[in-house]
Amino acid sequence: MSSRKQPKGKIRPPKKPNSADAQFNDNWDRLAQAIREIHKKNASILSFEELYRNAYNMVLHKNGDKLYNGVREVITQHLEEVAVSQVVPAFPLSGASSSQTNPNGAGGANFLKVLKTVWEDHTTCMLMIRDILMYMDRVYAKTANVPLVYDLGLDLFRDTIVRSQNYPIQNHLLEVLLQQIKLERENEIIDRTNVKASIDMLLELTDASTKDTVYATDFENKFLETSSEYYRVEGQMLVGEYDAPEYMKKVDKRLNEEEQRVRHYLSQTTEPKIRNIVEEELISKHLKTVIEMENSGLIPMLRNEKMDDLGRMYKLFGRVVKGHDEMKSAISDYIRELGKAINETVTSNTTAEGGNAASGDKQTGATVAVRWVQEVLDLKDKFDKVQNLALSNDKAFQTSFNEAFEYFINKNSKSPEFISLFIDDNLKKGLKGKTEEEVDSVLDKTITLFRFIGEKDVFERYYKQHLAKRLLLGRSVSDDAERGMIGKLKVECGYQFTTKLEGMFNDMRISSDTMTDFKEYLDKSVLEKPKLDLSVTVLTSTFWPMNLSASPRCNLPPELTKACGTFQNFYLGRHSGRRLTWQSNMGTADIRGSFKARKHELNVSTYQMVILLMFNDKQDGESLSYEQIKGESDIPEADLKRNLQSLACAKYKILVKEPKGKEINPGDQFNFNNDFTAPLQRIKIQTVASKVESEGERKETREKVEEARKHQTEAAIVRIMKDRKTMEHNLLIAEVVKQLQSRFMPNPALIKKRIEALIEREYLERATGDRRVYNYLA
Amino acid sequence: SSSHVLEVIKDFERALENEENYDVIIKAGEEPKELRAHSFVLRTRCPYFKRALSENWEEKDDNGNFIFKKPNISVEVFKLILKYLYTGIADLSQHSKEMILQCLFASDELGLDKLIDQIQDDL
Repeated sequence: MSSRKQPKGKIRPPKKPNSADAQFNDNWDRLAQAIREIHKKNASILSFEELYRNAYNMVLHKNGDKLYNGVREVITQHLEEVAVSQVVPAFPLSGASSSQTNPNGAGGANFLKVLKTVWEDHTTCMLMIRDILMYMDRVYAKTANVPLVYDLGLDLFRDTIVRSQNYPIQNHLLEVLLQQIKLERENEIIDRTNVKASIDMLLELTDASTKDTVYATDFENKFLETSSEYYRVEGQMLVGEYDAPEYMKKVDKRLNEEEQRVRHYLSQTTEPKIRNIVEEELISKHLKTVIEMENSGLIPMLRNEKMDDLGRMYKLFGRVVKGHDEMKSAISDYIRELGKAINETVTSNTTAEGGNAASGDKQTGATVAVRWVQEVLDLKDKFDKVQNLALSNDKAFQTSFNEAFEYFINKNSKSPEFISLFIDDNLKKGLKGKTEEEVDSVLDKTITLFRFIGEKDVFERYYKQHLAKRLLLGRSVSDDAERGMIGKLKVECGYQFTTKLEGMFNDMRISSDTMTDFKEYLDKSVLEKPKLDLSVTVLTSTFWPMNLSASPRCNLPPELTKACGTFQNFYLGRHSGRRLTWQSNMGTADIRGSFKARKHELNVSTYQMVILLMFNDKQDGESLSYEQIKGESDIPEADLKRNLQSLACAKYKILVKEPKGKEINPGDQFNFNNDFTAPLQRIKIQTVASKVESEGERKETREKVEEARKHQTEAAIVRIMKDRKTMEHNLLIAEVVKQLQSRFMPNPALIKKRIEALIEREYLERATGDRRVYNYLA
Repeated sequence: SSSHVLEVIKDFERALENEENYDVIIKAGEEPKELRAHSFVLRTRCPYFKRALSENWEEKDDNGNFIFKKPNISVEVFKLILKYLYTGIADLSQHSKEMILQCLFASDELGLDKLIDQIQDDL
């Protein structure tokens, strides 16, 4: 097409010398008349060929501009008539909002209907006019750089009707459109077809200066302004009248309605704008109010597990910038608050117990711990469920929940001990009839709590203590369960921790083999057999949590001392260079007691056995004083009191105490209770089971932990300095913190002290030029 | 495949010559002579006819055939134009200069841009 060498305008007609003007006038008269007929819908009487030829001739004879301007005039004239005769009479009654005269905006709707007809007529006519003026468009409009005739028609319609200077058509149109939308927002049924027709019309018209649609320049801003105002008022009204779930449903409905409205009769370009307005006015502005609504806001929803409402809030509030942040912080605060309450019940319980701690209900201490963990787990379950069902497993929410759990769990300084006790409770034999799978799933959950603990080293210490008791007292539910738990801890803490635990298991296994060998040894031996069955567990001192290097004081009965000697000879004969120290505080004994009624087999601790054997030498009714027992047995005071309590103040009273009471005091007298009766033949005297530590024990544990931290910190410093040789103070501190934080959060003052200790012991020195720099001394 | 294209052209040319199933009667020239053609071809090939034979402007005889009067184009010129519309080929070599000029005006009026180009090239 572009290959044309000459523009079409250069084609010249054959010269027809005479009557050019007359020819023009004749041609134009016919055309003007024809356009009028088209406007009157009388096109069927017209001949396309003739009209086209007339216009063609005019353009060919250089009368294109006259033709073009003439057409403009005829169309303008027609539209002026239309305005007067059709549009203006259809104006809705002034004060369109006067709802009495105009209850359903019927006047407005009629006005839109008239405009729709006028617009349709105009565009239909313009299409026909365009047909017969095709040659003018093709040849004249292009070279004269004027709009094609159809577009000229649109511009004329814009200026003569829509933006008429003579009649307030524009005002009425905008007012009616906004009123129709308002009516629809208020649940009136409106005729969307009419509204859509006007909107489409505005979309088809172009604003000359902005080159944007008349819809955008004249209508859209007004629509958005009135919408803003409408939803501002509605937002205030709704928060006053509805509870949070209802409010959110209303907002959801509004958002949906506006989206539908845009889809049905507005321009898609308006969609994000109106959405922003509704979101701003109905969500952003009332975020806090809705979250904090009493009895129905976010917290009540959580309390009553209203997953649908929570999900709705999550989706709705996610639309605006601050929405999820506000929800997150409100939920986090709530978790902290609930956590605080859980912590408080525990403290109030333990203090209440503290009052009668000496009464020695050992189980209750552990019960508090178990209940604390169970409540924390229940809370975790609850929020996992919320996260899963309502929050689409949003990672940001998860992180913020975790922080809240971490916060309150570490607020309870006993949490490492409690969690270990909880695990102990689940791994102990014969409890609660849980299946292995159930226990495993509880332990899995417990591990999630373990992750929140800041002082993992404290947990490790308690775990070892509790494990040691389970192993030595034969209380573990199964090796598999124990190893399963260690596997979980290994994943969390690494092998360093678990090698020692595995060492403990090894000791148990080897000891059992050793006892088999010992029996064989005794059978073959010519030695006198011990008068009692001795069962020994040999513990490697570095694996076990207790201080195994020294024997606790205790005078054992001679038969036992002798049996121990026999074993010692056997054992050291096999393992030369080893040292055995007897831990009488951890043993148990089965002894037979003869009472007036019958004989009973008593399962007691070694200490209890020592105490009971003292009464063998006594006459009936002869008593022993606390001081006598203490002096003769040499059992440490705390242990002695506890064991006397078990024998004289608990369920089975093998001893009778004078004066009566639950406390053991100096000066107390003890008698063998010959009148003791019990339905069972075999009786287990409850030894001190796992329990929450007393304040004194806690202090001791704390000191041990602090001591261990010193060593670990020094080890870390040396490890780092050995590698780097020279390092600046702050960098060293940072590196040490990094290495230790998985076990505990070391404070810089502690690290500084350890550095100084290492300088003193000449592992490190300060650099000569810069005292903030350390050198490693090989 | 170019042989297939040639075949299509021949088929269209034959359809024009045979006047098979025609539905347009063209009355060309001041002393009109009838030509017969197919509205589908005309509308498809020429925007002028697309309008002229549209529902808005159509004129039909009792048999339902389009009647199209074109007094300012001679039957000879119109034949040439029709052949061009059906086949895309306008062989002007055998024609007088006056005839060629008439063709040029006709193709300008009917908006046949490609034909205008070709004739101008030939001139």
